[in-house]
Amino acid sequence: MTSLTDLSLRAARDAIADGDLCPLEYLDALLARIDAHDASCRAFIAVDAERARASAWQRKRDWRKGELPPLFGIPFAVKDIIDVEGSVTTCQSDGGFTRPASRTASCIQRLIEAGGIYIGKTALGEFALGGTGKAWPLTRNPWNTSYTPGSSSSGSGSAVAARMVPLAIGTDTGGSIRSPVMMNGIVGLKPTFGLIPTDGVFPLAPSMDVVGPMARSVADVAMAFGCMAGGAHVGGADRAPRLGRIEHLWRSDLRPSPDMEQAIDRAYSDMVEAGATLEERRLPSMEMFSAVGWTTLFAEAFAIHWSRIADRPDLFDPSTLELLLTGAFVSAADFIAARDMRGGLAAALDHALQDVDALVTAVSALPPCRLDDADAMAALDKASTRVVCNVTGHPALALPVGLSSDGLPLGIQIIGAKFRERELLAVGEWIEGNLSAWNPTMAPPL
Amino acid sequence: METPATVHSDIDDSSLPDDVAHLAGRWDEALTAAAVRARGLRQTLAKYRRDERRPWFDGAEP
Repeated sequence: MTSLTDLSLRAARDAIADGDLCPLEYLDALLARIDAHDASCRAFIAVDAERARASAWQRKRDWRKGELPPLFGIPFAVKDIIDVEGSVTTCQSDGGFTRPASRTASCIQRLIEAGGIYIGKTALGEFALGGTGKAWPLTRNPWNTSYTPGSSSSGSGSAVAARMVPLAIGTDTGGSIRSPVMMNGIVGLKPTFGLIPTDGVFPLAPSMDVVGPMARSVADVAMAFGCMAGGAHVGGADRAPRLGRIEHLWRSDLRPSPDMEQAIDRAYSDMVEAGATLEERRLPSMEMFSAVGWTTLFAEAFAIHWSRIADRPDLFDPSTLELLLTGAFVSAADFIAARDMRGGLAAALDHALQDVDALVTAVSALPPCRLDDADAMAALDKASTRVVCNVTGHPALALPVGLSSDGLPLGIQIIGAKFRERELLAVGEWIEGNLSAWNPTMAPPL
Repeated sequence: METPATVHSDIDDSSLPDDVAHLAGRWDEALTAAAVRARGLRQTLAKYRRDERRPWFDGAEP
């Protein structure tokens, strides 16, 4: 028998809507799961059980047979860099953020208005950039708690994979949704820059910051995205898609592991066997995307944090401080050069998208590694292809395709045209439905 | 993110941006690593700035 915590977002919502599942019973099953496993995963910074139960009671009272809002009775977690009224947004910083937020970020308010139930705040890399902060525990990967859960929306990824919540919200400035999505074997969408409002989200680099959903299937991500952006989910593609694969970004610009190559090659074979066409496409080099993206990110992040750095540098984790200080050494000429190059890089991506439904590439050239292996962690940082879409603003959907030889998830990202998330999600659902080495019911061995 | 393999000692007070000059002394290691990372980014940008006339800047295939 399927446990309540194993239910997909859509299955739970349908069961609640049909009157087969009480929102309070569902919430209590998830809270019990958090009690049982968060001590080993450390996904949550704060769980507001009392408030969530009050919301679930309200949903129980509001239940009527017939039309209910799309997330009716669905608990969700929020990366602790996004404001929820009455909760402290710590940004996982030791910097003394103690005042509860006075209002809820629009992106979260939309989920609540769609019937969702806020359950608590999840862990992150400090300020969505750096280390864990001195006062905070290290979040772990539920597939193997000795392994990294990715960053910076680490707690959201770990919580969803560990079946503590069916949905969590993350932010993505340099890949921070797609990294934990791949490492934890779940699905996540980095939407088009500017599509979902970012008010109430503590900024990292405002010209690249986006907020997006993380769940366990493309359909579940699509349901949440529909609520955050407006509009309904359209379902999977009704024909096999035409795809452009971008191989050089990770096969030659970076150094992929054999595990990653085999997993992605197998996914390609699955797609072709199911009728998709795969054509080679090229972009400017990964090196150029990285230089443009990180120059932009460090300069903007330093501008946001410089007064805090001036006053109390000791309140930052040393790794965060070092990254933020990089922005102090970025000149105006560097920043403007990077800004100007972004237009050309976006045009190159638009060009690659011509005549195809989406582009496919790796999320990372390397699989998740052990947290205590500093060299492997440094190599993993440099193996990312994620910043490409932060530089250009295009939407990207990350989804798992299989497991590494260590039993850790591996994944791909598919990239679509700007503001065409619905088509991108439809392609993603089609791919997910045709994979031989992965399906959304696969779960970590907790 | 690029992390320098070794921390260089070629950043002195006179080359520090004003915004962070007061951190010299206690935070030298972080300042040096940050300066090295920024220099690497600048060198990479410079390499591609010279290539701005490449055809893909007009939307053509690289």
